[in-house]
Amino acid sequence: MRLPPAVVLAGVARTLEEDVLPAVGDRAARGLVFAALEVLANVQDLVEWRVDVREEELTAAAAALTESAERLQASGLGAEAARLRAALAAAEHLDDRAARGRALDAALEDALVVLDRARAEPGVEAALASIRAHLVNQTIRDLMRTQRPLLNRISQG
Amino acid sequence: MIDRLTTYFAHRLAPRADVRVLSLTRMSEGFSQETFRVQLASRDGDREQTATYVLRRQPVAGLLEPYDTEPEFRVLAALAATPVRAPRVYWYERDPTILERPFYVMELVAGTVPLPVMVDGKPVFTDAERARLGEDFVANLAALHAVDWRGVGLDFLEVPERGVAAATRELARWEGYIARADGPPRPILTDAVLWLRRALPAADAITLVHGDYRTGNFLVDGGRIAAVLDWEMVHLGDPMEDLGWACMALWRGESPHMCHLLERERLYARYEELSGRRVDPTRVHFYEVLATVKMAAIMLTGLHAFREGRTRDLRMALFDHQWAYIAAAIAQARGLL
Repeated sequence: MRLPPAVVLAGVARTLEEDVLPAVGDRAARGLVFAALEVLANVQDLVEWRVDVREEELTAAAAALTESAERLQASGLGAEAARLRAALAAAEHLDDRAARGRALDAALEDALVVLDRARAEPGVEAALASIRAHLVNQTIRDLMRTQRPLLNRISQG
Repeated sequence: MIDRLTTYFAHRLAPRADVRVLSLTRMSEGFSQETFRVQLASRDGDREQTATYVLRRQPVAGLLEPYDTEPEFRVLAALAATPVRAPRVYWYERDPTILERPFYVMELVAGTVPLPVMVDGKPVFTDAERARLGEDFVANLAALHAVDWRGVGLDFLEVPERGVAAATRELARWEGYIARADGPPRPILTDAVLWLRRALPAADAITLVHGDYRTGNFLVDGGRIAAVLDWEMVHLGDPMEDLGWACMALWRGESPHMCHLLERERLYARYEELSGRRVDPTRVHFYEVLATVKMAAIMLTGLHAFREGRTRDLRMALFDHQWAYIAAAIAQARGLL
């Protein structure tokens, strides 16, 4: 679950204006900072995270909850399975993609808590495995999209 | 700022005369506190002197908010009487009229800070550097854990009972940070927290714990560790906590060496030899998982401050996309990846 692009871009603009600009002495470079600020001001409310990437994430989360519920049902844990399905159904009624993502992640968290309480029951480990496999797969997908950090450059300036 | 600092140092350095701040430079290292290099000139009789100090100021908001820099200052002051290599500290200042927020002044230790990241796929250290620095790394940790903390007056730090109290308190501390960060649900983090709650280990000793002991937090000069830095998370607890933190995957990337310095087995063996303490791999593993949760809590706290506009430090925003690395570290420590 990522910060909305508008929040990130507004933060970039604030830093450029209040921290970078006062340290830039060259007039041409200062002009370019102002140009960057105008660009940011005009795109920040018009961009959103890529729909296909977000949909892939949401579909995978829903599938993990469905599979986990099925495994609980097959193990005779009907109440727990029903709880997972109800949370999933509530999330899928949300039209807003960000809200749906938060609801699905909350449903996954709730499932982990419920299953942790019931961990001695047969079938719970298999239900947990479905959720954990999704979390690991999502992590791998996120890692593959993340650029190598510039820690050295950031620290050394 | 320069004028107020000049007055401050004139008072501190009296009877030296004609104290002047020649330069004040913000240092880019470190993600948490504000660190400045202060170059001063003064006159001692007829003799003109220059000196450089490091000034650490409490930030308004950030990774470890709410901040209180006084405990670390007191710990550093106490460590001057021990073999632990740490910077010498001079003065702690609470008066907000000087720099708006509390700060302390310490010595500038010569050296460079190697970071735990490979550049262009190259190892962080050569084999020879690893051998020397790895030995220093363990020796300093053993020395830290050997400090008679009551004897040097550090019992003002919260003292956990033996048993599970240290692990319970640390887990609760970082769960508190996560709750206050008030972010969206993070199921992989929740899974780790649930595991930790069931795995609390009993400490067999309570020692001083650095809390952030790793490559990136020590200065190297002449091929040796000159000083251990960044003491803001220092506390009393289970000595295995520092080992667990040092073993976290984030500090080694793809290297087989913990903190790019020592293989895990070598780290454990040398620590046992130098400290006289037995390494308990189960406890270290608990603290390694806790380390990932703690790192997540720190990042989420910084992100929260950024989201709320309480900090302009854009480095806090990095944690949004870098969450993938934390999630991977959690999964790795839990044996899921």
